[in-house]
Amino acid sequence: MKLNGHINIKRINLDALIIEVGDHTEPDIALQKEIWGLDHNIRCWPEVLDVVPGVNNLLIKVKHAESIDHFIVKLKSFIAESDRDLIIPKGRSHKFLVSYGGPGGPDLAAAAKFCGFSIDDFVLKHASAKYTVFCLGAHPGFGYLGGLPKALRIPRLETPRPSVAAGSVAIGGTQAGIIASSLASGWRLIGCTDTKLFSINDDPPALLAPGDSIEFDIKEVLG
Amino acid sequence: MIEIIKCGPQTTIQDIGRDGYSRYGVGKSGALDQYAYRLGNILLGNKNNEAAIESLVHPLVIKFNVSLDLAIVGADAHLSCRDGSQEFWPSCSRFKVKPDEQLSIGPSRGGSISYVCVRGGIEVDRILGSRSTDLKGKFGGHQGRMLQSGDRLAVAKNETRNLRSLGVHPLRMVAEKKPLFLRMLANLEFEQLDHNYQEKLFTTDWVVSRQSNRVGSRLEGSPLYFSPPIEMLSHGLMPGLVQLPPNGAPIVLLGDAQVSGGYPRLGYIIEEDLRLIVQARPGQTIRLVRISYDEASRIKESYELYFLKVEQMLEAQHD
Repeated sequence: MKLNGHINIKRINLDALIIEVGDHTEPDIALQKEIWGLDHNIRCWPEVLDVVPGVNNLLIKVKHAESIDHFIVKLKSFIAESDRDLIIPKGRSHKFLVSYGGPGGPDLAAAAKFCGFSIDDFVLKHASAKYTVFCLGAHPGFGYLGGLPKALRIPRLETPRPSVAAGSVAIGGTQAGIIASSLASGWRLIGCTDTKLFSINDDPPALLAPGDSIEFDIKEVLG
Repeated sequence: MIEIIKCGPQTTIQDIGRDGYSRYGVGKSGALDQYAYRLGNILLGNKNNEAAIESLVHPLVIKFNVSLDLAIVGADAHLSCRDGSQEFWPSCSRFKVKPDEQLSIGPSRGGSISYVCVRGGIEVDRILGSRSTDLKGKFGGHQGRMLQSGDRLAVAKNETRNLRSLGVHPLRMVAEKKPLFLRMLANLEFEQLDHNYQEKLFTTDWVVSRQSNRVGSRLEGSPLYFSPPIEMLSHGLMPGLVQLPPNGAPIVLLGDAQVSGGYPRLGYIIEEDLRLIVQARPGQTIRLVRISYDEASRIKESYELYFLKVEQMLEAQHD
């Protein structure tokens, strides 16, 4: 794919900079593909310590702060090459079997009511949507998913729960996600899945990667 | 082997931290006071990012079953041994302990974080390139969790190298009560802040909140707001970032912060001054000072030079 000319590079620290594409306030999947492409290409450069894909942005940490100016020049000319064709890695597909409601999804009934649906309709809408992993970030293995139907948006809890189970299928504001570790969370829990999203014994340790697509399959809807 | 007899909450095994795994949601973790941690290892001649015990709340009481070379660095903490001889050492020093000795660290005269570095390091597996504890992911360090009484930690074999006891005068011990000046680079959303709030960021006497921990340090003072409020898309985060959430109280992110987030960003506190805020006790007054990239570079160089000089001084001692 070709890069469009709306890319902003900002130095943010002695050894770090951020690349921002576009100036949308809503996540944009087309722009996110540019981020995946940049990430895939730049992460292997010898000057780079770490690359953190965000939603329509990319944070880059360099190994040597003293040469960051040279690095920015190299980056700009890489991006500017008008006939550059960015390779974007092909994402994997995942299907998660979900037990909706019950003890694993304590917020399902309230969420359905808030959105004005019956529980069954809410579950059908959630499960029939197609989701894309924009990037990972809140905790190990957690993916920010695009694709939550607008009708299913629910604000986070006023007070987070001190601990939620790993595998919890959740909604937080405009985003969908699967909680990968037992942590405090203010997201609405609508179901759970047995699939493990993070394990240090695997390589890579996270199941999800930016660009992956996700579908939820209904195993059961518990009362 | 080191046995934990007594420790405070959030006592963990840490090294310099993990880099390169942010894409999996795995943050840096690592020693909160990187300067102290590095100094402790330099004092012992450790050159491979050896793991240490990080204690955020004194006292820490530990016992040994073998003779070990230790360095206790960080806070200006009272150190004493339980046996009849009651030896005392100043903090920021290295010394040898005898088998069956029990060492108490704390209370502190200044600062709150102590590191127990041991020659050869604490023996735990490297996970994703580091021995640091990742409390969110529950891996690394000692069983991926905080330490507690009764925990036994294996240590590397201590070759018999005759390390003379000695201490180092640290750079800028944490001062209580007087405002601590933290130097920062102001950028990103700072430019969108109203002029009078921009000024307030640098003239307010901020106070470190009771709610500060390994994830971040909250600053209390007269709140600052974006008008209109800024909605942001999730973006990568690094320790040292000063965020301004909607409630108006700035947060300084530390090693256990998540790797992505969505609050507006005001800029980065320089790495060399992060140690001051982590060592500060709740109630400590902070002032933020804006500096340039050039000044930040010079400060970094001066610290690296300091470490080099300490290393050279110690090498000369062994000849």
